[in-house]
Amino acid sequence: MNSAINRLPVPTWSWTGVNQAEDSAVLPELAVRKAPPLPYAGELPEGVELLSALPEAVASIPSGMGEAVDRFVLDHADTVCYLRAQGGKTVAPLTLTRTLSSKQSVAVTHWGISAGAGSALTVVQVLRGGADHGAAADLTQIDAEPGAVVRIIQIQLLETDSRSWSAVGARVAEGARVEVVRAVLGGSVAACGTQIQLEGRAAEYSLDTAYFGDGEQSLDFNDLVIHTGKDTHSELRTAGVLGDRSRKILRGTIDFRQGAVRAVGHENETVLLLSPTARNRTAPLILCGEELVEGQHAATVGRFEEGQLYYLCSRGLSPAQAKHLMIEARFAPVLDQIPDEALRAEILENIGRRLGQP
Amino acid sequence: MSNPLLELQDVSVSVEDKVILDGVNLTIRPGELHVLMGPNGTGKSTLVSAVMGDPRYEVRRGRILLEGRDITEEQADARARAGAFLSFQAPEEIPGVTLENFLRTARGAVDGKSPKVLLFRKELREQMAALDMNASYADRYLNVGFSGGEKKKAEILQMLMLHPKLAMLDETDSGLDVDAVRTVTQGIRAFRSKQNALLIITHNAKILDGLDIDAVHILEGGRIARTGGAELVSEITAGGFGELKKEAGVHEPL
Amino acid sequence: MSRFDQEKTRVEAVDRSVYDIKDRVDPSFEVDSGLTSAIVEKISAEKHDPEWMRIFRLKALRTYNEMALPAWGPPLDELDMEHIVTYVRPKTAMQGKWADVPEDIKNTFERLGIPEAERKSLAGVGAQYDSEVVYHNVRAEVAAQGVVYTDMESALTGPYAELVRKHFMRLVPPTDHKFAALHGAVWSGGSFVYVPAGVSVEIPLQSYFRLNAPGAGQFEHTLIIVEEGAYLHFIEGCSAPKYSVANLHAGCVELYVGKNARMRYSTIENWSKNMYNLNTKRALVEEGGTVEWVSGSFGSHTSYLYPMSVLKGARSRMEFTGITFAGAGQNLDTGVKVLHAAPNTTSHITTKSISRDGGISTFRSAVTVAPEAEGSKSSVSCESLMLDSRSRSDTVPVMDIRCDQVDVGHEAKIGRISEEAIFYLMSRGLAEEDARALIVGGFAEPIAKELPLEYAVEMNNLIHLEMKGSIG
Repeated sequence: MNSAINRLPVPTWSWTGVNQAEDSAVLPELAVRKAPPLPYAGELPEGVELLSALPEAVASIPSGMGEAVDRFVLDHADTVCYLRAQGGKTVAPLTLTRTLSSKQSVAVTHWGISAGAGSALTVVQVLRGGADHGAAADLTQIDAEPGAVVRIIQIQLLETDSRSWSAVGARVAEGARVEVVRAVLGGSVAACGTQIQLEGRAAEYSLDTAYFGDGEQSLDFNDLVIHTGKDTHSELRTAGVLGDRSRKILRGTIDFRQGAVRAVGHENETVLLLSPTARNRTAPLILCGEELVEGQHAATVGRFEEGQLYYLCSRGLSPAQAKHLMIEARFAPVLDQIPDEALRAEILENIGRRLGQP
Repeated sequence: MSNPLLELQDVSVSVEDKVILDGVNLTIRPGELHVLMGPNGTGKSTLVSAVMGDPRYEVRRGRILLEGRDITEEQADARARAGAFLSFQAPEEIPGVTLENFLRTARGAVDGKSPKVLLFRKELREQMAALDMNASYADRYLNVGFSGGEKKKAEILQMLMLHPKLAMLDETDSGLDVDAVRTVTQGIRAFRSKQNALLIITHNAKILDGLDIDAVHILEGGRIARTGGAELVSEITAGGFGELKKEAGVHEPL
Repeated sequence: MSRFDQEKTRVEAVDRSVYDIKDRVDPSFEVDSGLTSAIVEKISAEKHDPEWMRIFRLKALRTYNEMALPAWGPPLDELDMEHIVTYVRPKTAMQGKWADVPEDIKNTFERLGIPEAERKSLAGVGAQYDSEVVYHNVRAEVAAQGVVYTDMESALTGPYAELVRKHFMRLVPPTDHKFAALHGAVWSGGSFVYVPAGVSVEIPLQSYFRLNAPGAGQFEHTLIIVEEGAYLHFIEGCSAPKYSVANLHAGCVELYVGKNARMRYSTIENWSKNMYNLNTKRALVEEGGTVEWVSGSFGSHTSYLYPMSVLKGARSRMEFTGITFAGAGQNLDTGVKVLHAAPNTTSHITTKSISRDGGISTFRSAVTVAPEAEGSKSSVSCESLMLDSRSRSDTVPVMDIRCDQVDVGHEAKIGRISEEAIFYLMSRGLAEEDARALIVGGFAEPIAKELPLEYAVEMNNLIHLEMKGSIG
């Protein structure tokens, strides 16, 4: 088994350090878990039932973080949430909050989602709290059957004494859609990886990530979308802010396989650097084995745009207010998709506190 | 006569070491509406940008006074809080910041206290309706994906919501259709009061329809070449600037 | 340059024949297993190296033997690393026979309208050709300005020996990677150019002139020093395929660009399609200096090519314009590396790649902005064109930004020729093949316009050649 975490799908020069996550993201050593994991015990939205075991079709889906993390979660999960969504429109989201504390310094969650044809499901996964050497890991495996819509919203608000690993894998059938929305704010190390296989005709995927790193935080993303089906569509959007001595690696890969005719994949990233000691690394890959596709990537990295600052200041905002507004703006596409007002407010409050609210 | 709202005293401005304005004098008093005209590239936008405090423009000489206070060295936000407003020719697009959120923050900044959310929203909806803007624009990101006309209306909306003392409109009518220009003119009329003043840059008399004009200035060769009344507008829209030049004894190079 | 005039008509008149390339290794060579110090000593002795170079080679050999092959990039399985000496044998490149030159290369010569005598010279079969005369004339002309333009062997012992010693493989140390180490151990041939301060060399210097010079082979070393305020345009290679029996090319190019100096380095690489091209190029740019790379990769079986620029001085600049065309059997991994190491430095990278007929092209880059490079700007734009679904086109860029006062932008696009555009051209009377060639030519236009006219014409012809028979 390869123990590397968040491996770049096509390796490049090792001195760039992007081929895999840094050593700080190495998984903790945990004793073998004896007690069976507890099933999810919260409320279930209408049309969603709890499964006692995960069907093979779901269990076999790999995540974007690699085998090591997938294995870790399977071996050490203390909570499992296996869901089956059936037809009809589900409105209410299912929310599970995992909170680290001195009583529970490790939280490992395994999610399995079997979304039946035409079903809709929104899952909100919240991580908060902290503990000395705290660790939160989760694996979310999604099988979206034809026409299903699955939305995963991950909000990471951990203290900086803890680390997190969030692995997502999905298989998307004809006309189905998977959306992943991530707000990553906390943790000394936050590693995330998604691998989405757009297999069916017109399958869709969208990813919205917003992050804010400061202090000594390290963020590591590995997001891979594989287009195998015809007319498939992916949108990967990442926006973030890095201050102090924080660092981040984003690997974003669009892989067009032969036969994925008329597939479209777009990837966009903006990074705002607030400090001369922050470090941003980006590896945006487009892999292409099909002629009839459209792939695009754009990234901008740097400081505040002077023209925008002036425009905002010309309306009376102080430079500090204008900058604050533009940092919040990076989170807007993610906030817009978070259904819970209290969570949105909590994220904005978190940003405001760290920026020293004017 | 009341005290001047805006005074430009012998102002010279350069951009990237190129002198654009060279010794401009201008006085605008509360309640007045001034029109600034002139051929392309003579520095009309430079003038209003310098008043607003665009960091790209350097005031090399002279003073800019707002209500008697020297603002020449002040930053744009301080000028805005002092009552200056500029409707930009090409407003910035700012993704992630909704028009409403932005306006509320700006209003809080210029008023010195946060507006009451519900009252503010009501006022915003009313002004948008008056400008014939769809209410959904309040939740859209600032200028992102707005058409040219929508951007200009959003600028006028900002003027109406922020209650500046001095509003400068830089070709707000350009690229607008007849109906939209009429709407903008209505917005200007609604804005106008005895306490505030307007400086309008335009090539077109349409935007001025039905507005009482106190003065028209022609900018030429980096300074105000001529000042007159409303009649100058029709003179220029009919004959162009060439006629004026002849009058002034200036000949256009071939 | 009369042959360039003929090309257009000739090119269109030729049919495309089926290529039949096989690796040909002259059986007369004995094969030693691995590369030994005895072999390196022998090369050194034959070349009458100064003592320091002999030691340098042996040290590089140790490095070579210690280093692993790269863990990324196209496969090198077919490269017989166990018997690397096969590729290294001195003079192998010059000892082929015209009869051994593969048909496709002979055909390409013919299509490009290259005269018989020159064809043999380009193929490296040692026929005498008047390019030697051209080279000597150019040398004499630039010498009048104080410019030194000579072969590396002469430079090692001539009046510039100290200068060469101070700069040789300092920018690309043998420890850089396995093939740089190999180069350090067995290099031979290449050019040395020295342009004194303030001198602007008006005519581009072309290594092509020197193809017949002694030792011109597959491990050539190019060392160019452009002093303060000087200007030089150096052109490497030419668009006719260079055929070499030994199919490993591990050259090295080192450019030292002085304060406020400007250096343009243009390459049209069209090695024969059995070549492993593992070339290392690097420039060091001082304050206010500019390096411009123009790079066309058409040939070779496998390429690893990423010219690197170290922007060491404040306000130094680099521009990179490159095109890669990967056809049947080719795996071309090309790109660029830049290190912004000083304030207010600028890099602009524009690349295009075309994949066709099962060819694989990969754009690989690394843009690094060091903490001290405040006010720096970098823009990368890469576009890839897929001409069919048997081919591959991958884009593997990395940005490493460690400074907040910067503007860094990156854009990548992949797609195909628009069917609407083809239809439009066909509706105006063009045959489909010509319509496609025209569009691909247009795609490559930004590169072509950076090349001297005759090279631009040759590149266009090459594209037309490559596009022949592209339908079906």
